[in-house]
Amino acid sequence: MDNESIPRRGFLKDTASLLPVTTATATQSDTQLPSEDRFQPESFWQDRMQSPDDGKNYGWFIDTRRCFGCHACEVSCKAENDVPLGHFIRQTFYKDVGQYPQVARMFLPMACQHCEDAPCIKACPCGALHKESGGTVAIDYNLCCGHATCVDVCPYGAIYIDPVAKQAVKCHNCYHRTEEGMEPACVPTCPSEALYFGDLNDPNARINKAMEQVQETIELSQLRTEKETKPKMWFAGSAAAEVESDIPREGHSYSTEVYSVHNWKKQSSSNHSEMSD
Amino acid sequence: MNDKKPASRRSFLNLGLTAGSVGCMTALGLAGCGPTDENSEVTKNKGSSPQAGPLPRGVDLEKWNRMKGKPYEIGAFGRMPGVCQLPGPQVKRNWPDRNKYKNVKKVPGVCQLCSTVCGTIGYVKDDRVIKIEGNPNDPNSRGHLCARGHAGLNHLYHPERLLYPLRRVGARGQGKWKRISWDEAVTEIADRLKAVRDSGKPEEFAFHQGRQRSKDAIKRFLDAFGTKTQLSHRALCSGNRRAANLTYLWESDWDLNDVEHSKYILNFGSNAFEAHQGHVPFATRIQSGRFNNGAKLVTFDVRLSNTAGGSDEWFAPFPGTDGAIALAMCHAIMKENRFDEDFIRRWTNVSVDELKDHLSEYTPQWAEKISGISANDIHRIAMEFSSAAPACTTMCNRGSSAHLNGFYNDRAIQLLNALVGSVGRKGGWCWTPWGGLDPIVKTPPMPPGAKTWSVLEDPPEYPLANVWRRMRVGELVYLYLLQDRARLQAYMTYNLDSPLTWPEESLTQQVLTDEALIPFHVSINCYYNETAHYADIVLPWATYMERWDLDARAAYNLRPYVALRTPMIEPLGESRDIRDFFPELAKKIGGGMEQWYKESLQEYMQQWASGVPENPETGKQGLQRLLEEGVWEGDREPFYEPYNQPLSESDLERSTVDEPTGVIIKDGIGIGIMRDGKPVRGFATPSRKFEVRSLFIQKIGNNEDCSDLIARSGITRTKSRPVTHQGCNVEIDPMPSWFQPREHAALADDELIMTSFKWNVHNHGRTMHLKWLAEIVHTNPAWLNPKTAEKYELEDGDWIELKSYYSTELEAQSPHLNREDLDTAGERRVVGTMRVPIVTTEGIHPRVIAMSNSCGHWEYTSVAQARKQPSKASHLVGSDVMKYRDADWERNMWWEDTSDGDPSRWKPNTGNGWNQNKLIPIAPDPVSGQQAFHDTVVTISKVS
Repeated sequence: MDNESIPRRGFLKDTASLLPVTTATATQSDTQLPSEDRFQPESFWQDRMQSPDDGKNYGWFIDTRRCFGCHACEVSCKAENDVPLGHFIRQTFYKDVGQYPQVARMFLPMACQHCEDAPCIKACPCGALHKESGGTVAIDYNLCCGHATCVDVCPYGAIYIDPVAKQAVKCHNCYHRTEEGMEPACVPTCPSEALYFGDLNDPNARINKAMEQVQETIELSQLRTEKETKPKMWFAGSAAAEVESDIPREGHSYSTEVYSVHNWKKQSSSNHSEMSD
Repeated sequence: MNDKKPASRRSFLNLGLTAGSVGCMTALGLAGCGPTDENSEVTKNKGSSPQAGPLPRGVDLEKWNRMKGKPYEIGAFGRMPGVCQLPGPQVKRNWPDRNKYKNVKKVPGVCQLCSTVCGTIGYVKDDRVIKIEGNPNDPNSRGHLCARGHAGLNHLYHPERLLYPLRRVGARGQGKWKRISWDEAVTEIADRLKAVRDSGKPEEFAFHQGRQRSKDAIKRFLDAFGTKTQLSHRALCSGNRRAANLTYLWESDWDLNDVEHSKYILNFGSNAFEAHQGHVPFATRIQSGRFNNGAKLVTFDVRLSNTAGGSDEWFAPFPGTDGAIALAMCHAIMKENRFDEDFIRRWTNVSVDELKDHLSEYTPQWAEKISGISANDIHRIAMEFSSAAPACTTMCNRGSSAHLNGFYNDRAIQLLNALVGSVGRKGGWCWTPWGGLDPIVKTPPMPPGAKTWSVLEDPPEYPLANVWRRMRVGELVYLYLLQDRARLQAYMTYNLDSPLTWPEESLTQQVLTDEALIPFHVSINCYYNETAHYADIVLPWATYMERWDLDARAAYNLRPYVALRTPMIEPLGESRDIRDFFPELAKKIGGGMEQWYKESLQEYMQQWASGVPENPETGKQGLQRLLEEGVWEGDREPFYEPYNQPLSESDLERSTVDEPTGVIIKDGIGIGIMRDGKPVRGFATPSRKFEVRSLFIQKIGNNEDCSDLIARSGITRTKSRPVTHQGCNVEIDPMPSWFQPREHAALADDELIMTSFKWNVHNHGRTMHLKWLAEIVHTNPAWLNPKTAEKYELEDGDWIELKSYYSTELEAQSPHLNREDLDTAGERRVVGTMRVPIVTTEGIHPRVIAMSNSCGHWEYTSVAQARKQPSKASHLVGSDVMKYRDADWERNMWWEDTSDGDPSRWKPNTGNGWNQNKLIPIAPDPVSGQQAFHDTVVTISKVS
């Protein structure tokens, strides 16, 4: 949290009287304010936490052992969703582990985890964040007023505020594609076949087959489960654990710094950017 | 299609398949609706919580509206992909747009942002390409597409794209331009080319291509014209690997490692996860081999590439010692009796004893001393590799081959496969005789080949450059012009960015500027780049999303296929493809050229594709089938163990057997070999075996007549060296061996070896104008090991001055290069100096400094130069800057370098980097002519 966030914080403070939120000061939020303090009353979001009752349950499986960091998923996402420069719905993190000559490079593709118990939905003061089919956490742009409370409570830094619209943007599982029978834009392009998305309730779905096969030999992991948001993204391989400290936390978004070769070696990155405006 | 654009082209374009789901197309909501608007599908579908009404909805609307940014000003073209309209103020009502993929046309294409040429599908709506995806019908790429492929949208729609022909109005290289009509351009070019033809020296018209995938169209034009001076970049790319493969195989210069079925993949310096001509198809299969088939991947590379970093084991050898390590592994395999005796006996032209004897000196201990890789590891990996045989393969590419000893490196590496018998085996080291398109498709008749000769195209000093294939020695072109070894009257460049991608940037610029050396230069390109800057006429080329080709790469399924590149939209502005304007140019030049342009483009494509058989399900064949499916793959058997294929009765008619060798000869040409009393195909070499000992290269090196060897190989397009090569003899070792460039063997304590590399989002001088790629990588600090940095008291982000030196090995081996023009410092010739920042990384050998290519543009759009605003340069009269305006770029681009060259004000990860080719000397491998990009000796000093 640095100076850049002040305008937004100022805005939140100014409007606090109108909103059923407990407003944090900038200083407080630096020290990871418990998310609950930012949540709306349950009655306000309980309906939006339910997905349409169509029997679907979407999830993600990332086989980080296969990923070689080609960035195809990110550029496909950027193209699909016209994401502005400097902002990212998804990013692949690099991390060099070890010392010469014993060095390996870890790759971790990251995006919204589509938490079952999504804190962004609980915190959204506009009622814009909700679940689409299969539990896809999405934003209604008729309602989003860019308070960025969702950014403040997302434990994975997966939401950014569009610099022009001043509205929140995040992965929506490309529901405009899945509704047409297509996969999310990042999935089919992956040359390493590391990304799997699908209906966890469908035993024949590719994702389930892939997870079953991998689980015969290794255990899958999830990220930051201590946040108790029940993320719906599972990982194979050690990259998730190795890179975890670099992934942005509450109040931050994916940052351009991730792409700097100077940062591949860092144990932790302290300068995740805020919104650039 | 021979004449101008509109009507016929339009209808032809519309052949593109209309598919996609049909639904009613709803206009996108535009700005103006307030947040209380009830037009939300979500709200309607789901209802709102009872409390939602009185709570926050619409609160603070006034403030929000004040806070909102100003909508993007997008050019006259409007709502162009890549201009970040979503979810901006214009269309925030409805995002993601549930109607995006309704009423779209799916048009097949083939990517050309690198040479892997993956099949694509363009999603076209309202005559605009809104998304590019991989084509799942492509048997090679299997529907995958890398980051570059997706950034094709940036390439197609770009404010600074060239859309109109330009004529130079100032001095050459001054950058002053005037827009002209196509008629004027074509007339002037035709006049100049006709004069060349009339002069009786057609070879003085040189066509210089960068990456080109319209081989037939270019060959047709040049052969019809009568010049053989077609210059390429193959020697800057892959000459040594190809030459080494050819010594063993003759019928193929391209090993296709069957990694998907492998158990062990031994990688010498290839970065297939990021680059490589087989990039996506190859990388996919490597991971499939590892994670579905249990293969192990071991990589030797001086730098931790993503391939090295993602391997099961990584070793960093001293640069250029890959061949020494491979020979030591060969030694270990022979010594420990881990070789495939049957394969060596039956299928190589050496005996086990000969091999043991030849390899005896190449011990792992010897290789350890040279490479720094422990003898134990070399031995262990050799044992692991041989244990996996025959499902084991080596892989290599520029990492091992772009060296002064690259030919020998690659020959040594490939020998490993023969010793363990994985050559041609499933999961092993394979190849096919089909380098690209399935021969089932044939172009309309081509003109007879031109018979001219030019030192630029066939430098006599490089015996293997052109002997099997025309690989040429591209890096020498400008030097030889400067040395007056050849003259030009006209020079046409095509998709070329030579000042950036050629070694010795300043020499390239000097020659391109000199009107005495290059009297007339036409540049064909989609963008105004560093080559176009030195042209007299610039022609706006259609992108690969706006033109026609049949295309394919050497296929990892080990059988050929056919892919269709077809216009997804009509070419923007007045951009045109060579298939469109070469006929017009040929007719204007006349003199018989016009007879090779009888068909319209549509007829030409239909005829070319006519061999593609009918799909029984749709009843469509030929071009119609390709327009629907994009790609066709036949049902040939994968090319495994071709040497064991029996010859048929009809093959054997009129044949005789040469008793001592068993070679079967028909009409004077080798067709096979007797093995165990049976006639089989064998290898397509003079001995019909895998030629570990190549008498041919020895004889060719010495300019001896090789017609008897050539006849027996059956590869009759191979020719002995022409008389023009007489006197240029080179000793080539017929056996796989190895030497070390002397400046490496004698590397002083204060010297480092500079290596070069590619990024996974870039492709030499052709991708930095694409904003989504430039955002990920735009700059290239030099990589240095922390231990080395410490020695020079350097920290991450510090700046150094690099000084590079000319090769002493080349001074001795290639005196004809005669580099007395280079300045000297002490006893060394200096190539260049440059200031760059460093990044420290554990992922590099301590005696190596690494810099990427692709960076350091000074033309090629403001994106490539990391500048928010286009320059005021006059070449922009060739663009529609306002129509294709990119407000996202203007507003959100974040890596502009405002330090003005002052290291103290520079911020890491800003700017557009530095062109490493300022420092790299012209350095051809003395055998094949491949440019040694990874060998440059440098010294560094801290800039304080």
